[in-house]
Amino acid sequence: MSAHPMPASDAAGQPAIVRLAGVVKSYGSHNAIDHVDLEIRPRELFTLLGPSGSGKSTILRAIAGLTGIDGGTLTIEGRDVRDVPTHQRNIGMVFQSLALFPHMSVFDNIAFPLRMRREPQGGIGRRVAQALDIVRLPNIAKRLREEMQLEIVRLHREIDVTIINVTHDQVEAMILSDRVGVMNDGKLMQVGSGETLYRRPASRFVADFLGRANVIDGVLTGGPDGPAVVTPGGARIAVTPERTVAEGRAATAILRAEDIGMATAPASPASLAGEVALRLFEGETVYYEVTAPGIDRPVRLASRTGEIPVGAKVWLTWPRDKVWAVEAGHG
Amino acid sequence: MNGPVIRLSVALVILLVAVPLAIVLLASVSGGERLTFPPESLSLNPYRALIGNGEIRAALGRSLIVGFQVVVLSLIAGVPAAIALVRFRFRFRFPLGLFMILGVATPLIASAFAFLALFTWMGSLGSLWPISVGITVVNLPFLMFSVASSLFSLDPRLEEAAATLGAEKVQTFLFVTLPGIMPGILSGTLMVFVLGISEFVISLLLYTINIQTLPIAMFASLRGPPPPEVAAAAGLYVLAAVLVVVTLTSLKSTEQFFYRND
Repeated sequence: MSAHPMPASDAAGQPAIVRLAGVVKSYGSHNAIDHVDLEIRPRELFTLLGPSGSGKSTILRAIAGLTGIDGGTLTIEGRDVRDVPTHQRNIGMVFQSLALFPHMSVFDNIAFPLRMRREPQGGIGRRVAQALDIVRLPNIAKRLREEMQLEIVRLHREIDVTIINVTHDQVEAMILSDRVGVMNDGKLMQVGSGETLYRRPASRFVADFLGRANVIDGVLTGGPDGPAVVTPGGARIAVTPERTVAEGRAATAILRAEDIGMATAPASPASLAGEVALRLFEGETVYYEVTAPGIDRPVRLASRTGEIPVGAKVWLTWPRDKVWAVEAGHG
Repeated sequence: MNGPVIRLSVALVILLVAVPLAIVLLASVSGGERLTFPPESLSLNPYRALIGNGEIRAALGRSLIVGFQVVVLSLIAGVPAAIALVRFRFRFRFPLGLFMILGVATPLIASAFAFLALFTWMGSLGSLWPISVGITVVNLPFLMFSVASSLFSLDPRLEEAAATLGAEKVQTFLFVTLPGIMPGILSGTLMVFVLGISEFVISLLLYTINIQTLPIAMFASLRGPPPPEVAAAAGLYVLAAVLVVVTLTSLKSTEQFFYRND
């Protein structure tokens, strides 16, 4: 072991079970994985989230050894796996297409990895039976997809394994995962719990990708009423006093649709005046778009009551500590 | 354009395909001592004559041997070649693929001449295997196409999944790839077998008098008035062809059943 560098520890103090350092995978001039540093902790359910083509599947394939890497190092349990073939990496991978063996029975499909790893015949039968027991949950066919996701979380806690999941579905990512890594264009934009990514995005991209957010560009300005992002058109968006961007710098305010309150009278001097341009009934909430002077794109918001009609003059308010600001042009 | 015109042309095609088959089958069950068409009566005499004629019977045996040799050679050469051409990315992959199918595109008489020159130079004429080698080379693409089409419909992620489940390359091939392309291998095998037992041009140039295959023996006996056993041999060929077509059709549906794409 002394020949190997000690596995690096992450913020939680546990050694990483999978570690990527400066990993690059390029196809021609395009980097499918662009200098990614990532540490997966033992027994966590980690999700790589990103739009299609962002490189999340390529990272998973690189970890599995199905795709080679062109630069950086990839270690599993402290061992550099550059020259370790897939079948010796002691992993399992579930494909989106499921990739079940069509010429084999259910039993043989489940028994396949046990046979490949030369488990004794008697043990295989018992373990396949256990696997089938898990499947025989009450009314499995009727279960909704969401409930199945919760089932995965429950199973993950029981079976004590590290899971790396790949999805473009942000709700799935937040529900399932201990931590989420957001990918865009081969780069790992941010890693954190779903809640952190949602509440404290490090970039405009992350804010835009998770949930329904209004991203409003301007300059961060101080003042007696607290910091605000002031748009080129002169609209003031009050943001959190937590300092993430220096005063006078170009900044993007991230205003979540569900954090905005709307009234037909100004609630405070800080209220943003506007006019209802669109009203869509969505069931639980009513989706509104409000045009406001000084903001080029309509402000999107979700209202529980939804009694205000299109064309009404409205005032928008929000708790300022819920509005995050990031440096503009940062992703 | 639709309606009667299409119906007429379909009827014409069916007729054109059916007539030779009908003539052969009918002639193979004709009564009488000599072959006449249409037959005056029906009997299994031609088949009895075939069994009774030692020369034709021996030729049938040789053709079957050639058929089996062609199958073995085609499998050894064709299956790995098809897998390599479909699954691997290497230099000259495309020209190599074209080169492999050149055998089927070259006029048979030209290939046959080339084999005659080669095997004469090697001093190998007089055995059956040079005939089998020649037939294999010109018909190999049929097996390769068949295996390749099976491979195309086999999800490459199945092989990757096997690797992630701990299967080595050999195990992945034996337990995942091979069963997956088995329908293609079976149908390709049947095709090259039938082509092998009925091949004429290459056999004609490479045979010597004591290793006549069935098509050559039939051709030789047609110099005089056609004996009934030739009609029986032709009937056997038609029956073999029908058997193969029926098998291939059922294989195709098996394949679709196992490997339908979601």
